[in-house]
Amino acid sequence: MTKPSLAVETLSICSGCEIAILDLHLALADVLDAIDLKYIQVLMDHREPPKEGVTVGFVSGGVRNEEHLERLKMLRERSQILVAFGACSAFGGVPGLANLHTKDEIMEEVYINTKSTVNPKKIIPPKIVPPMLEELHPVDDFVKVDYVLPGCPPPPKLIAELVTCLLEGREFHLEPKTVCDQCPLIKEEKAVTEFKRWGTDIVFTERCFLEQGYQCLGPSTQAGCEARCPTALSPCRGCFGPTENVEDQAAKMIGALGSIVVQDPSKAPAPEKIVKEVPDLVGTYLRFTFAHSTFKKAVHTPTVKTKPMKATT
Amino acid sequence: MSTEHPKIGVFICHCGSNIAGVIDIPKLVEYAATLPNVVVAEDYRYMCSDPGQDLIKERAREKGLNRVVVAACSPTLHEPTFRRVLENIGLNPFFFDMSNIREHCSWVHTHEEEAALEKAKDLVKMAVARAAELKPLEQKQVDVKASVLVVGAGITGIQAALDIADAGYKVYLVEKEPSIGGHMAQLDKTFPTLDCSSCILTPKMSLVGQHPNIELLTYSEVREVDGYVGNFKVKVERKPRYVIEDKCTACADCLEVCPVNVPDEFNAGLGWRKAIYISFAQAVPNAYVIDTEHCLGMTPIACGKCKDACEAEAIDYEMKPEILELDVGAIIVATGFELFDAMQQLEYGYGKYPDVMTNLEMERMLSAAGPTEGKILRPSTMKKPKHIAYIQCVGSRNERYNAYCSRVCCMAALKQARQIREKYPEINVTIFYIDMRAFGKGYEEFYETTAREHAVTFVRGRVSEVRESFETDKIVIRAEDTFLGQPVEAEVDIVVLSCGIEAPKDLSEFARILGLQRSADGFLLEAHPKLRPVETNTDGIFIAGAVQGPKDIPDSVAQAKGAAASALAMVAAGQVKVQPYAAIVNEDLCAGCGICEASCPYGAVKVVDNLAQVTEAQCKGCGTCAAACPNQAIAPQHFTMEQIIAQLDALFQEAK
Repeated sequence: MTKPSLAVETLSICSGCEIAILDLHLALADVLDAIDLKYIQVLMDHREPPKEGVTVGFVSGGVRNEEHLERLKMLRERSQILVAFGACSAFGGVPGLANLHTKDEIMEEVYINTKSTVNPKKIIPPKIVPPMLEELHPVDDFVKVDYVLPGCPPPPKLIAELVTCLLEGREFHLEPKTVCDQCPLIKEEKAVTEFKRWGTDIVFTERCFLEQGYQCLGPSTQAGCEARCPTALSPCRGCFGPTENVEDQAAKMIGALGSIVVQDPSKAPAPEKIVKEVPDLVGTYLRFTFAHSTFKKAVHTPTVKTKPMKATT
Repeated sequence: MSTEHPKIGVFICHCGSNIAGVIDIPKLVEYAATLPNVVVAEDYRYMCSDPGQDLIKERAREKGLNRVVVAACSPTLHEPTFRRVLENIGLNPFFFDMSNIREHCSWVHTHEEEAALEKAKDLVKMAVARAAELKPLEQKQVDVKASVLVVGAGITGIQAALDIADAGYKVYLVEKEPSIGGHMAQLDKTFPTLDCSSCILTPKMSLVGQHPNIELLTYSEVREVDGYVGNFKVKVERKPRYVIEDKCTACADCLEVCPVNVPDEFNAGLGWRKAIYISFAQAVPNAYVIDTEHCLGMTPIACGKCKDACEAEAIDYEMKPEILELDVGAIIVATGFELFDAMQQLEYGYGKYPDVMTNLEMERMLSAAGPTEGKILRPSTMKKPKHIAYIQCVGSRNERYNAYCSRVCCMAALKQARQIREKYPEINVTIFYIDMRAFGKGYEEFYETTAREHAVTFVRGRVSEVRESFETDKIVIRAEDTFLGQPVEAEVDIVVLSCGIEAPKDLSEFARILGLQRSADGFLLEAHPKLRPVETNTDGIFIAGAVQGPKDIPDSVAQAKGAAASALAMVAAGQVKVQPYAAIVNEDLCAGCGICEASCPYGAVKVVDNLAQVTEAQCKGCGTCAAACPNQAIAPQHFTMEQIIAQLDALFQEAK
């Protein structure tokens, strides 16, 4: 009997997700016994996944250039099951924040403007390297994804669970609760009088960060990580993205923030003051999911005239 | 029934010409008939009338309707009416939606008939879309505890407590001061009859003190209110009096030995009291209280004289605050008002010139039991004044302070002027006013008599400045006489500021504890300004008296009786119907983050064991939690996400 095989494709990513596979530690030995690891560039010297016999394809990273797109489509064609592996592949991840700028702006910034660059002739890389797409896309913009394993990186425990599920032919499913469900911090009363930036004031390490006025995305983020950041005394940044029944993580989180402000209007912070304490709105509420949100990218030139009221559904 | 294919009837009301005068009804009916699932669309002059209701019943039977949409006025007015119609024909009353094409359309678009028709079409379209998604709901009954909490024991709270207690129900009357009586106890006489205030108040106070059904909790404050209509759990803190009420005989032996003198609040600071004191002779309960802020005995080595002097052994320095837990069926809030702080209005010199005083200070001076035993003296010289001026609307009808009219200061000033003129015809009284408001029964007559027979002078014009004279020891008032159209100046001995009525400063916190809303003026908000003046948006909590807005004594008493009757009706029925709107928690999604709990204005949601739980009877189905929940794990039953999405989808569909 041939073992089921696994291919891991790496697109626009830091490779942390692949390292997370190695973080299985001793369990890795069991996994390697049960499956045949055919292709993983950070560990093995192959150019592309085998043409046939790939049971499961993991794709990590978003799609930034044409090569990524080609490789993504190749993996989809060659594997029976495709898993969006990690926040970048599922939602665009941190590289998705580049969608706040156009492709040309990014090229100019990187190859000309940065202080450390010496490029007197202002040469932008020629076409022999894979051309950049206009923006970064999560993989489900192009191909059908069978399973999503979010996280930056996905926790090894969930990787093992996913692999086990696939080997045993079971469905893999994350219970659609949010991080707060697993968070060990103590929730007392949400009556925030002041929102604060992390590092600007004392943090009580046992109490819910939101209740202390710090931005923690736990309430609007898919559970599964066992609240690893709050457990390590850092607020949740939302790398698991929204749960399946939520359209937009940021909208939900901002909507919730209004409710945790103290009800007495004389003690409540002024709206302008709250906005001032969140200088980077997108980076705060859509750090990992901007490319997958309602907006997906910044609109630079408002050329489309929107009709008031009668929009098509 | 919910699985049955929806058959919707749309009934459009003309509301006389209120709607039909603006919106083209035949066109709207024609449009409604084309909407999905609509089997009949009709109009009628007054849909809420009996023939209108009969029309709905008849069509429902003929066409086998299972959903009804009425396009008419606001659901706050007639939703209950039409729900009863559905009930009568055997339909679940929640298979009904109302589209408000009067307040939301014809009344606000009177001069835009075409646009109003388009908007009415949209509103009807959305109601029809929601109707198809409605679910049948069951109304529940909850038991009502046979007791009432009355907060505040001024004349309003006293009257409400007496009415309820007389009807045979238990009343807890909570008052934060050491004695009941409120502001009325401080008044000398009342307008327009010039009754002696304490003569009509103290019999009621004494009744309260002795009533078998009233448990009087003075020097106490409500700290926590939990629960819901019919079943409130209230925590009341009894502050330590340091004098055992039952033992104290009010013999005044302690007063003689107490070495501390403190300005007397009851006399508006005009007199002195001791650190152990009783507010006034007829106080109920008739027991002393120790003011710990000034008492030396709290450190026993320093003093302890009163304890030694007390033969009844009523003094106990070791007394501790006590928390009482009460179970009540209804709550009446009658916490009254505070006087506007005249120090805020700098140009009138209160606090700067001793001869500028407030109307309350004058009232105490006029009182035979007051610090001057009814004699009017000029504070700076302690001699009889020759000329007293009243400045009206201090802190009222002024956008810098309070925009509203305080309603009692005109009459109070007239009454005091009359009292002064009757007692001392040689003292001149001038009233500076914006306009005199004498609107109650017998008030205008009182005003006329005061002006004519008692020769009080009236100057119409707001006072711009009050200062001490440069030449004499008098006070100079500058104002514009708007009848003469020129500035006037008057030299007087005493200036009385008619300070207005304000919501108490701690009302915002108290409103939060009770889950009540306040109106823009800071007072508590009633459920409907005309038709539900003593109810609030929280079932089972009623308001009465000046806590709802400035009021004189007759109006406060009338409201007290109204609130008492409303509370009694509920308590006597023994059971109350609860609307089945309550939000439901999806336990598969809820992570127990507590955002819903923080958002709920009614305190209906609590997180228990990492899951949100809704107390049905407390939930009003407002949907705030549904909007706040970051995981869509909670939703009210009568405004589900499906229903809202159906409405939005209908609205944003391109017109066919």
